[in-house]
Amino acid sequence: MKPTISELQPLFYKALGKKAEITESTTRKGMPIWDSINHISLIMELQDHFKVSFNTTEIQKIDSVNTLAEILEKKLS
Amino acid sequence: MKIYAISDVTFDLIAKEIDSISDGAISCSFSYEEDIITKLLSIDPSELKEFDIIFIHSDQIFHSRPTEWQKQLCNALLRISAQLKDKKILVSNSLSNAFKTPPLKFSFGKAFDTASLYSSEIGLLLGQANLFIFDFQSILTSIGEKNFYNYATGHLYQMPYTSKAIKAMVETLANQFKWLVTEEKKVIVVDCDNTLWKGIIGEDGIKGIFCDKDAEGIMYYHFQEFLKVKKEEGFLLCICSKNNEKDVKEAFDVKNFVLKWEDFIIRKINWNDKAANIQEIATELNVGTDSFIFIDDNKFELDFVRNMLPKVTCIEFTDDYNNFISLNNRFEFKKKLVLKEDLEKTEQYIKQQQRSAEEQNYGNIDDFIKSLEIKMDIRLNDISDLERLSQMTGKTNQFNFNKEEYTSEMLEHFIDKGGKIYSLKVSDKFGDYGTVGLIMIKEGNRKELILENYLMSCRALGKKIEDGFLNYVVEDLMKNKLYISSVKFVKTVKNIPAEKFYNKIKNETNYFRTTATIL
Repeated sequence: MKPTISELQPLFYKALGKKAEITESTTRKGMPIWDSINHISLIMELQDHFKVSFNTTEIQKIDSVNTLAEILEKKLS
Repeated sequence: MKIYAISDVTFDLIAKEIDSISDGAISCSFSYEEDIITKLLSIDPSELKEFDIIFIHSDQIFHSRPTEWQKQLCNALLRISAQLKDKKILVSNSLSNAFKTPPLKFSFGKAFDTASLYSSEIGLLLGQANLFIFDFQSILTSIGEKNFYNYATGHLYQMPYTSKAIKAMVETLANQFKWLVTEEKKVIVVDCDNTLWKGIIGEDGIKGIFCDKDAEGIMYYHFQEFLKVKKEEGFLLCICSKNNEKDVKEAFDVKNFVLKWEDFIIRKINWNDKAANIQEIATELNVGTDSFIFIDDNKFELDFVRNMLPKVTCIEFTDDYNNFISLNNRFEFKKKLVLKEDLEKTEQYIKQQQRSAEEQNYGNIDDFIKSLEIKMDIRLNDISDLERLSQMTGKTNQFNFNKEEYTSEMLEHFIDKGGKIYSLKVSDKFGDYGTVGLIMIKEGNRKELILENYLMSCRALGKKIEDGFLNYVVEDLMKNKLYISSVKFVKTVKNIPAEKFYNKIKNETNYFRTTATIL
């Protein structure tokens, strides 16, 4: 099942800060606060929350909320 | 409290967590260094004035350092502890673990620990009065490698830890930081019933209390053993118990406890309140209450003492062995070793270290660089490497004269138009760095030569490679009677190392024919 924005939003707040509001079309490029350090934070939050782990390729591939949701969907199914 | 961390893993998240759990009381500046030794040898003590503690962390499992590197790190640590005598230096003990022979070499299943080969180096380190060890290994062991490491983020972002690992590390670190900057404890005051032994002597009688190697009394037995060691380390032991003194004295006489009645320097066994008793002990010993640890099983007593004497460290004793272990590990029970003999020993060690540093030829940064046996391979217009060079123009931030990005097509075009692209590959005795440097030279409108850009990857910085590379290029141009007349330098948020270098060279006429101007 594809995780929803409302499920992902708290994890973004935790990792990126209170201003990190996301929509389905949010991308890393369009969100300066989503830098590499915060990306690690986010990966950690996601791994802890969904009890999954991402490999190197996946971590690099996550460049938007949409790709993130797709990758999670595959993992969770 | 101000911490300066030098680490070969990305420290941002660790610093953030330290800030968050200490509510900002511990502020942590940090520098990420791929090559910690070079950084340590080039530290300028005056730049670290504002910091209380220097924390040095190298994750050996992730970086897999050769044994000779370990030895050099020991020497660099000794040197810095001598340089920064007024600072506390905290070093992760990931060091000693990596003295083990890398498994790649011995894959036939025989573990081979070579740590003893370097025991003298480790011994020297531990002899330094201002150098302390952060027990990274025990945290790793308690969490387990699988839950501790995330090699994917390590590979991509030099951040090899899970959030669980960071939390555990930071908790211990924050405690140890606090311990390092506070006066150490001198007096341990303990309760008797359900603390020194199991049971209540006034109700259960002598036969009803336990402190022995049977299951019922074993933890209390171990606690007494623990206190005995603390006494040998120099702590003063006292009793503070609501009991009849006669009963307690009888217990010590009849039972063969680890601790004897005389091991306690002062005994307050009466029905007065415990805060008053502890205050009396403090007055009798002429020691401030901030030097006191008070251990009791009774929450009410602990709260009462906490309220009346807020400087006393109050610790609850429970009948749970896990709690007992964490009590054991508390920093309040650790001495910092400042006995006179220890100090003398330290002086001897430092002298010995200075001698051996001279012998070993890396007592200073120049000698150290020499010992690295750096080899530079410089090529002009090497088309085959354009892909990597283009990547460098995007990724290099610190040593980058103007942060202009080029695709490999743009670089090819640059050469076609008569520009010169010098690329640099570096290796030293520890291994290959790959392509790390790029200098671009082009002709301006009036046929003058412009240093269009100069990049150096941060793993090569600090070893005078940046001087050597530019020297070579300048000399190569001079062979054809060519001189650089201007340099395109643009300040960015991150290119401070490049700016420093630019300021150093811009007026050197052996580099440039005329004083360089910023375009």
